[in-house]
Amino acid sequence: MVGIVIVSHSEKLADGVKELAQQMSQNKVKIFAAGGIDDESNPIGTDPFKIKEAIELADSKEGILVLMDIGSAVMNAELASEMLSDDLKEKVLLCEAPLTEGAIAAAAQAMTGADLKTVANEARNGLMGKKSLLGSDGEEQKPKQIAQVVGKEIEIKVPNELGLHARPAVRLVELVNKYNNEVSVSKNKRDYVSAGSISQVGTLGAKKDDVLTFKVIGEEFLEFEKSLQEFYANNFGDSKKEIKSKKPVQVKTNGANVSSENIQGVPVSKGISVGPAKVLHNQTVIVEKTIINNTTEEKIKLKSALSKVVEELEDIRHKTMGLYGKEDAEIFDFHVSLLKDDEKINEIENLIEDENYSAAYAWFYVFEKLELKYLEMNNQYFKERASDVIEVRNKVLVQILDCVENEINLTEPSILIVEEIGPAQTLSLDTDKVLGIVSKVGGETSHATILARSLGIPAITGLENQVDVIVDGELIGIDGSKGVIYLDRKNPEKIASLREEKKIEEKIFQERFSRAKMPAITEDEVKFKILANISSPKEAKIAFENGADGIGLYRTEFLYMNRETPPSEEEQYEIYKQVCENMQGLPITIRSLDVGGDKPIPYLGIGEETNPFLGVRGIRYCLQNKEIFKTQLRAICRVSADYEIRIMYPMVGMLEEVIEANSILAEVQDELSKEGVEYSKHIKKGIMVEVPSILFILPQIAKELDFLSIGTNDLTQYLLAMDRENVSISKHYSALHPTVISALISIIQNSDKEGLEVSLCGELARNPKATNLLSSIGLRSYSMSSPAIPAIKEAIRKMNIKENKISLDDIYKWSTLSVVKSKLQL
Amino acid sequence: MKTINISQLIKWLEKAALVMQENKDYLTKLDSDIGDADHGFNMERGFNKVREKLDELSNSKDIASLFKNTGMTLISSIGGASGPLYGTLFLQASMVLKDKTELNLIDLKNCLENGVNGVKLRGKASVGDKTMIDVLDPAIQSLSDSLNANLSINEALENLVKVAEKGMTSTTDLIAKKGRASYLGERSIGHQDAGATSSYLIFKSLKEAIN
Repeated sequence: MVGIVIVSHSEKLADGVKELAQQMSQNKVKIFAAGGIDDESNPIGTDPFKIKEAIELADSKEGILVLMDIGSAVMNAELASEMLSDDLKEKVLLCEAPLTEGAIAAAAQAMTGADLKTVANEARNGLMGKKSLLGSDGEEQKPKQIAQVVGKEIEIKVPNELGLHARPAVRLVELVNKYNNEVSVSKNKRDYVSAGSISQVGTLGAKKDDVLTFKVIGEEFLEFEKSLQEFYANNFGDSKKEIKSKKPVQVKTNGANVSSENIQGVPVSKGISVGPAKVLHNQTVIVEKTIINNTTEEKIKLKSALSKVVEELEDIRHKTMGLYGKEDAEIFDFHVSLLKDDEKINEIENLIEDENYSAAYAWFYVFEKLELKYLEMNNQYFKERASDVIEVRNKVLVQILDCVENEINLTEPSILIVEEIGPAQTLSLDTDKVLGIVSKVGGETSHATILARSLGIPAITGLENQVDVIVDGELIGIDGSKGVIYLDRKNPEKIASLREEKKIEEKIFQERFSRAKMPAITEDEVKFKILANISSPKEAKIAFENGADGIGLYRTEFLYMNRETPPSEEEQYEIYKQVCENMQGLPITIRSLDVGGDKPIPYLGIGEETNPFLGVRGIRYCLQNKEIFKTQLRAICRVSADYEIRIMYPMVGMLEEVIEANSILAEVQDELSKEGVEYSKHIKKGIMVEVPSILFILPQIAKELDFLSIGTNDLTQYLLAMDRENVSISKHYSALHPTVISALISIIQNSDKEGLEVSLCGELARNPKATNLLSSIGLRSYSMSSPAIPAIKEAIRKMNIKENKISLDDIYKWSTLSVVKSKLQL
Repeated sequence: MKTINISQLIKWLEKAALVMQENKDYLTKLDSDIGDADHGFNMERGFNKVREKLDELSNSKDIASLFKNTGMTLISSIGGASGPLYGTLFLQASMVLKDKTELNLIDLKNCLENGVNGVKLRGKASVGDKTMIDVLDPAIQSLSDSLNANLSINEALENLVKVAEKGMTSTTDLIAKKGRASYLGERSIGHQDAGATSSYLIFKSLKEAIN
């Protein structure tokens, strides 16, 4: 059989192609890969000696076919074949066939024992299959098609409420740079700017319904167009139910107000605080124009400063993700992409090279201009990005000039009075000492403001010169929900009453939550478990405060959304750990990746389906994409070493899926054992009951599982074959439909029989009247969104199961939805 | 000066290694504009490997074996397309230098001519394709001219470097026809070719080492 040699610049590619071809030949053909060069730091390249060795290994009496990628691969393959012994030389054929398609076709042909010429011809025809699939007929057509595609225009209307603000702008730039095209973009057909540059895309200021026109030159037009359409269909990554951007609060800045007793600003983060003012004067950063001789040195300084700040910001992003969630963390994507904006960096490098500006001055000069550009925009939301630009600018200057960053250090708990504050700076604040933030410049949607809210620090902004009357160290009070600052020297009574209010507020808060944290036990001493549904560490914190007895449903799919690649094991591990920490060790049920249906994630590559709700959803996706699944399972298992973790598979419809998922889990655990990584061997496994088929195989499936969680939303939808979003039929959609109630009874009774724990995590769980019914059936565990927990616990405490028990016989008589509604007084 | 000896050639290779190191970022920059940004790295690595071997090569019995070893080292260590090309240049040059321990101008011209022909065969490029051939080809021509004008080696190298420089800068206005840059078509105009630049640097090092 003809031997085959695969030559590529990339070792991974060569090995991968070899693997594909080997699969084709059922390991019968001698196939050897010669990819990359032996240089760890720069492994891309080809090595003629490696190629020679591979040819010698692939030697067979029918000959050796060599397939290669481009450039040096071709030349080094020629060189290698020249270096061979004479008799071997004659048996080698270097073939111009496409690498992957050629290798697969050649392997298949070689297997039949065909001669070298036939195998080579088959390799050359390797593109035929693809051609007929894609419907392009013949090579003559090709150039024409490309010519039509080149410079094509795409128009889209900005779909999301907030417009092309920082987060979507970052995503758009990432998307553009992912493909090998040159893309420019304009707003309403005005000036075109580079679509691959965050500073240019960010300052377009495109608002909802503005028309973006993309001009695309490049071979990957279609790929780009497809991604762009997905991005568009995905509402630019913003939630469709987005809060309307609030009207900015009008602030009176007339003289009368300044001299009056109190100061009115824009309320941006609620809460009351009283304490001494700490007035910080932002030093205005100015870099003098400096001319230098050694331009290379300056460029190196710039580069190393940039990479240090990127690293620092990635670190902050990572921490923010764990502590406050994805949305807050994404603020720093904008910062990082400013630092990675090649066009801006080129502009700065050119200033260094051509004008001999120092790195610091060139950087300052360009960012100063960018800041102005943001400040000149007429939309408040875009204007507020200026403070992000300043923060990034200063961080880089600190690195270039090797000086110390302005840190805010407080000796005693105080209310900060600042000109302006950046998001990274806000995060670095010591929350024990910062009682409030008062800033001259800023707005409701400033990134710093968003973070202040996450940190729970009261904040007032937009005060301009009004704050100048505040003296460093004087006692003041602030009311974050009203946006008012009170001075003790002018209004001591108000300060006293604020203190009182603050005390009462804290007391109410504590009482409410301390009660919520008590267990939910009925009058007749039946204990219930009330769990929370969450999707981030931040929500875990809220769940704990609201008295959740654990997490019944942690939706991990949000981790995978609005990004270009799946989260790494490490990233997942950190976030899951943070959830556990925020729940202070209470049990956490992690639902593995649940995609498909109504939750599109473009990079996961789920194709268009005619019926996505019956297609690749939940566990079905994970079983088809084991690497993604295994990465998640590894992260989950690792967290189980220190916390009580339960794994839950979504959208399971048959026993086979459970068996396969469990065996992958066992495989992961086995790997971890071999690596000496710790995990809990007693991790509990469960499934979501959403697909009605589970009802009929419960005894069988129970043997593989420890618990069930009923997802009433999907279960109802599948049982009634009814789309709950479809308004023309949705009046019959109800999780309390007699059919659904019968199903619930069956699941709960059978679970008890099989010794499975069972809980319920759909919207039904938060309905106290439904709780009464379900408790009669025997359900004792419910999972719901956190804010509903205190009320449900309270309702349960007033319940008396024995007295209110509704008999099953009665329930079975409830024949229609209207009967159920009248019986339950809904 | 009538001839160039082995130790001068070793000085040349040493110098070339130094020059590649100094120009690593510059070459990479040129290559990143229209190629795959590896040329600076590759050239530095290749010539650095040559330099590491120079001690043992100083005992070469003839120039043929010095050049052959240099060629093999470049081939095995550069990784990119410049590996087989420069490697071939030295290997082919070595073919016509058996037993020579000194090079006169005729030898220099003959060996480089043989080398450049090898490069042309290997890379299938001709003048005007925006490649190293735009430097190598006129360089050989200038050596022929110098021979005909009966110039000294120093004068010949002086002219050679001037011609090479001209060849190098001429690539800026060309459309790339070979290599990674050819995928860019007209967009390659306005950028100087990295391979032409490294060829110029090699000749420049030769002139400086001999002077």
